[in-house]
Amino acid sequence: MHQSDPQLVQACQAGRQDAWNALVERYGRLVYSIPRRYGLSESDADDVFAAVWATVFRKLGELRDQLRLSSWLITTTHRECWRIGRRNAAYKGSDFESHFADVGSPADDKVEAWETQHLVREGLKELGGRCQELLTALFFDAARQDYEAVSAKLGVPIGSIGPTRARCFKKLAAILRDMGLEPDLSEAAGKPD
Amino acid sequence: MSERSPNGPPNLETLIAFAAGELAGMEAEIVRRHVASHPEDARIAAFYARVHQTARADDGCEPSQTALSRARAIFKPLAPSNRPSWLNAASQIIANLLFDSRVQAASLRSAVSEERINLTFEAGGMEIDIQADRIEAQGERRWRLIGQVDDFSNSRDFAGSPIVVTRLETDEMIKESILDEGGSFLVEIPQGRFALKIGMTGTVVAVSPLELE
Repeated sequence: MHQSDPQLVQACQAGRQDAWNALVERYGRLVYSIPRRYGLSESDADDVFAAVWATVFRKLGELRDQLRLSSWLITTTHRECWRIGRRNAAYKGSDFESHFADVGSPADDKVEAWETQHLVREGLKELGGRCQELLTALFFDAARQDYEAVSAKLGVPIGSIGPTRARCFKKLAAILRDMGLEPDLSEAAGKPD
Repeated sequence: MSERSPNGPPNLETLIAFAAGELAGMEAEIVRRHVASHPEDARIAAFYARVHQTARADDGCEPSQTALSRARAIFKPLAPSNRPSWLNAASQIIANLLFDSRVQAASLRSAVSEERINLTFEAGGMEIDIQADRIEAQGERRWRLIGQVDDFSNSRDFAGSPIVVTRLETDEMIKESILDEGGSFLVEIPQGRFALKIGMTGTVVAVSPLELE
């Protein structure tokens, strides 16, 4: 069963390692991707990653009402990237510095894009099963929409991909709506497949 | 791709095929006209397109198993038994940094030693001065902190007040001491990022972050 961020945070506060692991699992990709996008090396990205989770651990007591955990994590990661990256002379004059017009936070459009990407991935995980496999293949795997490749990979007839995609997307849309991703698709619920 | 009735409104499958850019010619034009006059279907198509484009633009990457393991290992049950109970005081004051000699060093580098850092903090009517000297002990570079807590009103007696130094990343307590009758303390700590916490009656004053790399 899907646990909300506040539920996970509260479970962490209660000392549950499994909740912490779930939190790291849920946001690991979001956090780790930022230093890599900024051009930090794998080693420095690992350091940023560890520092961010250390900060999360330290701030657990203040996170009780933290519903905007993802944007807070993005801001925290951005600052850790600056802290760790600025010490490394190799990044001086590189693209790295261009990401820090504001050292305190990345640009709003980046925050929104990364949060949306995170939600879509989480929504697909929540969807699960064949629907997750199909939409993941259509969204992420193929460089272009290659139905033959998707058909071969998933073992489904080409003719059933379209109808199945529609049914699966309807479920995904409902999940994303619950996660707060707009627009509200309540109208879609009544749409015949 | 779609099996839409020629005269009926497009079904969800057709709307999504349209949003995915899979329709062409007259079929695409018919759906385009339909969504132009049906906002609810336009939203469905737009939402599919948004999700699809979002996924396509996702250039993120997964952390390594090693990085994940490190992150998982950071967690340990809160409030370990060796923590002094005064750290659980109801209120906590974060001290404000008033002065950092390293900031001054940027403009007066030649006049300021990098082996000594002077810091001044203010919290709740108190001033906390810290002098950090870099030292070499048993082959390890460490910092010796000499500090003093002053009460602006001279109404408080700090003698015996407890202090601890904790690692910022893990909250691990690495040093414990008390203030003497003059409000002074002396501790030696390794390099790193720390929080210095001082126990007052019912309150914890936290000097954080204390970055001594």
